[in-house]
Amino acid sequence: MFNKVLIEKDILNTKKTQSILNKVKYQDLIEIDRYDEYFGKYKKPYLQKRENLNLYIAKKKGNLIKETPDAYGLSGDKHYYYIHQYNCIYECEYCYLQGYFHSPDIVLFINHDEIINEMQKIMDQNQERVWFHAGEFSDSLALSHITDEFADYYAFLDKNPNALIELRTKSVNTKALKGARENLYITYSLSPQQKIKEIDLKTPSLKHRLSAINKLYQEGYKIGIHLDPIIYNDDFKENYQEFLDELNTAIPIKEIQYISIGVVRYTPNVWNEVKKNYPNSIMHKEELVKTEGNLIRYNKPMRMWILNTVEEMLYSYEIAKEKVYKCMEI
Amino acid sequence: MALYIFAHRGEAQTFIKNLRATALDKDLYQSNNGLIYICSEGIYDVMCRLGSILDKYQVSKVINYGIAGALNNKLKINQVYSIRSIYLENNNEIEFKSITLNGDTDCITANKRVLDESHKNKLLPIADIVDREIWGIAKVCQAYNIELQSYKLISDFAGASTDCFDLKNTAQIFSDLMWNHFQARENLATNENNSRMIQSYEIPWDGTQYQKNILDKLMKKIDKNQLETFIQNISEQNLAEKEKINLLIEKINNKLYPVQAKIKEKLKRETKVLSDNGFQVIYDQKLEKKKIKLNLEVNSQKNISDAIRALEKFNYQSFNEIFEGNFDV
Ligand code: SF4
Repeated sequence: MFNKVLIEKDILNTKKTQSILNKVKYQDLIEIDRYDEYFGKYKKPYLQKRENLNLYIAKKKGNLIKETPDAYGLSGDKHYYYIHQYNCIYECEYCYLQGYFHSPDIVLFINHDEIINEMQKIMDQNQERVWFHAGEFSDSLALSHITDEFADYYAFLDKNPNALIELRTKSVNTKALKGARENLYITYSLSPQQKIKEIDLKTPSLKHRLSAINKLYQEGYKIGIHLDPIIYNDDFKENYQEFLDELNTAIPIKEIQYISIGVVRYTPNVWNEVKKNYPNSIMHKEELVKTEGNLIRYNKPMRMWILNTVEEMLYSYEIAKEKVYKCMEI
Repeated sequence: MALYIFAHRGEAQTFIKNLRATALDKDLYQSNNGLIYICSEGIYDVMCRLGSILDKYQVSKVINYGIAGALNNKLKINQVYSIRSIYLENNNEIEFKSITLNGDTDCITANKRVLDESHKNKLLPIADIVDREIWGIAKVCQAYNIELQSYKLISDFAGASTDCFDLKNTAQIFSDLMWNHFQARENLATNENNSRMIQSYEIPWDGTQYQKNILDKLMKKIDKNQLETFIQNISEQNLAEKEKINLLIEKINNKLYPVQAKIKEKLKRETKVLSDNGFQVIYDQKLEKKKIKLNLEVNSQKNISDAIRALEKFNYQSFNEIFEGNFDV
């Protein structure tokens, strides 16, 4: 699966590293001093993730937790994301990681204890609910059978009932999860199957994602859904109606904890990469403009119309209004 | 014409002979198949000279052949690899900018020969092959926007086991191997070119350059049968050629972007009361800001009273609703 595995010397013999090594296939193993002497230091083309993907195993230094941008999650709460991994095995054509790091290689950070310490410090200073989101720079579940970090996070959740963790994913790889918790949210990014086929490359199909959702729901997990990114096509309304019906059979929509809806959007960096990497993508069909906040997306009437249309469809399944929010649309 | 670049004359010798190339100067040869340039080792010479060659001759593609060291022990000696991403080690640092070609193996250009294991281990995470000049060649080709292909023949393993062979004695063998690879590739390329078909579509009317630029972009997106139907319909209309092109652009736009067409139609409808009464109505071009600019030419009292009436009738709220997405398509 990986071409080279590059491991920081200091952690080569740790249990976590060895456990990861036992579970991955690779061609060459190389010891390095620090991952950041290589990762991001030179521009490695994004699409080389297809045939030349390397894996770094490292310790994250610097900021382990960051505050999220505005309009990120349910309003009224504090939101942070924690960083335990860079990059992803999937290849969604709109993925912002292609313009974010200068390499598609995957970095697994193994110092989860230090991440959790940081989270604990935040909880010690807060009486209110605080969200910690995983999956800002990766998919939270796709490699979880390899990284196997959930035991530590579950202990943190059990100790801090006001701490909420969101694991954001497109993966059906749920076997590393250790049971439902009141303050654990598994959230799935979903689109109609045709879109998944066309642009969520290498990800599980809608059918498989829905059956994973159904299983988790049956087991008592709290489920969130991200209808994001929505990409317009001529049959957009019909496609979304049909797709929401399918979702509603996997989990009653009104039972979903929250649903975010967002239209496709790119920073200029990501947009340049997208045009280069996927010149014939269906994402280029509709015209996009540079808008406020330096985002490239549909013009305001169009994206508001798309969001309103999907929002109205969701309300027809009797979901409470406060559970639905528009992402990056203030 | 093609330009073949080698670092050493010894590497190029079979090419010079078989292409019947004759010397133009100390480092440059010419044949019916193109130019051969001996750029010498390292990036500096090639970065100084290659630009002037590209300026002087009509070079359409550059092909580099050369020997290189394997950083990865799995590579095979005497095998030729086509180069994909090119990285540079400069002053012991790794240069951020890389250049990517259509090959399948990465190469790093080192600032000195890789003679020990620590140097090799430093470069191995980045690439499987190390050479001394391809980054310089690629940088110049990139600046001149000229296609580059690079093929490296593995002569030895970099690091402590580097074979400091005498290039003079082994060069003939390496040059022959690279020539064989070149010939096999050329045959393949000829067959592929013969089977490629070129499709283009001509618009039967003359327009401005601006119109042509817009049409060029749109035509990449529209279905060809649909385009033919539009052209046929418009041909029957009694319009000047430029107006026909404008109409064609509008039809293609409406077909490609039906929601946009409806949004524009709604905005037009909402502001009709203003445009009917002498105002020139200008929206934010990107339709991002909820504002309109109005221009009015006044040359009578009637203009003023019409304008006041129109402004009173104009319903800003309905206009605003369009920007809030509160409409149906
Ligand atoms: S799943 Fe998420 S992180 Fe992975 S490629 Fe898709 S958008 Fe990027």
